[in-house]
Amino acid sequence: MYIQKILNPFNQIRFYLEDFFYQKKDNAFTFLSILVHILFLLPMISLTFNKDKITDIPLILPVEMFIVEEKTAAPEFKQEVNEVIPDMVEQVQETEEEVIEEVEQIVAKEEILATESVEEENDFVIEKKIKPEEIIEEKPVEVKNDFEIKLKNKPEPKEIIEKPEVEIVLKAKPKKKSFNVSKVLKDIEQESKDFKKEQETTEEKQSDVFTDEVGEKMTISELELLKQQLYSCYTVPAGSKGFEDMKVQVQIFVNPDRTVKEAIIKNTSKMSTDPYFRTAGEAALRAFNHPKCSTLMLPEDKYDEWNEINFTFDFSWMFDKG
Amino acid sequence: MKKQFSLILFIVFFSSNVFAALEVTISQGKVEPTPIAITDFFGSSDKAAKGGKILREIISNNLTNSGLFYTVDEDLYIQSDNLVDKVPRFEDWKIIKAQFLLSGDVNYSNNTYIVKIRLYDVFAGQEIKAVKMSIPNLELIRRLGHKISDLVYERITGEGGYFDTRIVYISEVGPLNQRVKRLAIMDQDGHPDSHQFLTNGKNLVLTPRFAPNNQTITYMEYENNIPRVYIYNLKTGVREIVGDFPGMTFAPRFSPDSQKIVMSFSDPKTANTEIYLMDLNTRTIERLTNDPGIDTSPSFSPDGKKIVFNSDRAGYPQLYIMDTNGKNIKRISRGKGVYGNPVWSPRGDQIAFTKLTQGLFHIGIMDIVGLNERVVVKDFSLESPAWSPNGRYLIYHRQKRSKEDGTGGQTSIHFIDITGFNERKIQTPRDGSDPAWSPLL
Repeated sequence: MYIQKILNPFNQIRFYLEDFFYQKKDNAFTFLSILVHILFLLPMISLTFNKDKITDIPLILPVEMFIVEEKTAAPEFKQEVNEVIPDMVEQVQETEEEVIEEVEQIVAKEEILATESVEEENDFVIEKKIKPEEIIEEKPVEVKNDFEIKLKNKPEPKEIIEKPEVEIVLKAKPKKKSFNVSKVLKDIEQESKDFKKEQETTEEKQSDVFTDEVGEKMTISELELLKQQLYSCYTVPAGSKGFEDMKVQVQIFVNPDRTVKEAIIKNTSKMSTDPYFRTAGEAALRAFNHPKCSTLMLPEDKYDEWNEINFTFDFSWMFDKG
Repeated sequence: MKKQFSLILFIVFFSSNVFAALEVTISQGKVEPTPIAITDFFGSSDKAAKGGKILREIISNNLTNSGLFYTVDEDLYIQSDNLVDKVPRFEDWKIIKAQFLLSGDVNYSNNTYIVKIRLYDVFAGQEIKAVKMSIPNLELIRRLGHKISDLVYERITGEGGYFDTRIVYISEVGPLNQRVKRLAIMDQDGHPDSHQFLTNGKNLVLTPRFAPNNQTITYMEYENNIPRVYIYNLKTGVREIVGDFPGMTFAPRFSPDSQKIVMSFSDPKTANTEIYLMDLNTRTIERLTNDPGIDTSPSFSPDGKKIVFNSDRAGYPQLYIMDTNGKNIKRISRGKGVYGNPVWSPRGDQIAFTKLTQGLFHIGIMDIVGLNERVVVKDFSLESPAWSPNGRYLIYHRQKRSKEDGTGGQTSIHFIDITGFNERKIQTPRDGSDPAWSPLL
């Protein structure tokens, strides 16, 4: 009975629908249209309820920790963003004026050239074409340039250029392999030029890295520059036994002018007992005596920071652990 | 009291932070030959000067061929006088980027050539080696050059030299199906003056190996098609048969004390190849392996406690290590491919091997537990790796492809640094294969 009661409303709906379809056939299409729309709309409405769930997915961003100096090492930025730069307008105006002046000068020169006699020593003649004052008819313009360059007294090439049968090539005599002062001087000069260039590049690098506005401690960039300099001075004795776990510690004392005052190996006990370690140690010391590293790339205003530096030469990078 | 103690602690802690020196780790550098300047070796007479010139050339070639040095061009030298008895102007050598300077002279007196050398560290501005040597005649000038090269190499690199050594190898000539193979020996630099044949080519010879601590070689010779193991004493020229072994015999190799030979031979009844150890004094033979697989190519560790060998007991050839009594066998190779010819480094820390994979032969090294495997060279056919006495270099032979008409297939001996750089061909009068390096003379 209970089930019948429950089902009653459904039966009523069924009856209603039957009546609707059988008795009111005209409205059948309207009903179907509404039904289809509802079917489409329902899932769309239900999706909106899940909106929060989608947006609530937390975005995990990697965070790197840096020890930041009090002040940045970057050079100070003078212009504010979006600031109108008045100089630029002036510069543009000046440039325009210069261009106009140059054009005028060129025109003047052209006129002079056109009027001057050109029969002296030149192989060609530059003639000024005088434009007609009155345009009679519109004709296709034959010459676009204001000038026409004509070859003077030179017939058109008719003959094929003959190639010489015998090619004479002057060759310098092979030099005997002997001590040549000029060669040495030239090489040294070249080397000194290279050295000057290197110094200039170094100074540029230094000026990029060592700014006035930096903290008291050595920045990462400054340390990296020092490392890069030493990499170029340090010849690794590759392939020697036991380098895998070998670490050479070198203490250096630096003069205020950034030259190395003294370099000593801290773990000296191995120097006399292990020949491989001695080789590694000597190679490390040699790096500080290398001409390229005679003056270290250090910020001058942080002498207290670098007057004494402890270097560790680590050879483990040479060994492929794969 | 407590206050004072905490104050001291505070001061110590604070001061250590304030005055701590800057710490920098250098983890890179240049891996390139070290520039060395070698001055003329001045002579007291024309003969001595000639000897000096030869000495300089030998030393320069040796050091350059090692791949660890290059000789600075002589034309660049600013100071050109004899620097044996005076302090060099180090700035003059610095400017041409010479890191080391070798100077020497040759004097002839009382029928003896006396050679003095001085080695300087230019950057440090100090002398690091000074030696005086003598030879009775100029015939020994090449040996002296090699000796000096070893001294320089050892002082700068910290490892033993290898220049005063010889290489024994199989000289080959003729078409592939009628190859004449002779035992030959030469200096490590392959200089033609040092080359000589040890056998006449009548019999086929194979696998020569040097004793680690004397100038004796062992090799295989087929006399009337019977394989025999021989020992050849290069000092006395005496040759003796170690024994006749039934079936095929392979790759005899000395123990570190040169008193034993380890080799493999196959039992003619079972055709199974096993490894045997023979005492050269008592001529007793001990069987070390007993497995249905083929066990071959044994090589001793320098301490004489272990043997590395090749076996296909796992289905395909791999490398194994065992104790010298044949127990405690462990597989060490793990990579893909067919492994063979293992040779233990004189340093004791590496094992060289050949590996066939992807249609190419590889020569590589791995550590003694089979880790850190690294291929140093690969080609169509590479065989017989052998170590230099300092464990720094490998020699091996390379074979070219043969043609259908039987031509081609030339073999040559090559040298390479274990870093995989500085590969070079050692010149031999004819084709060369199966090289073995002697200990220092």
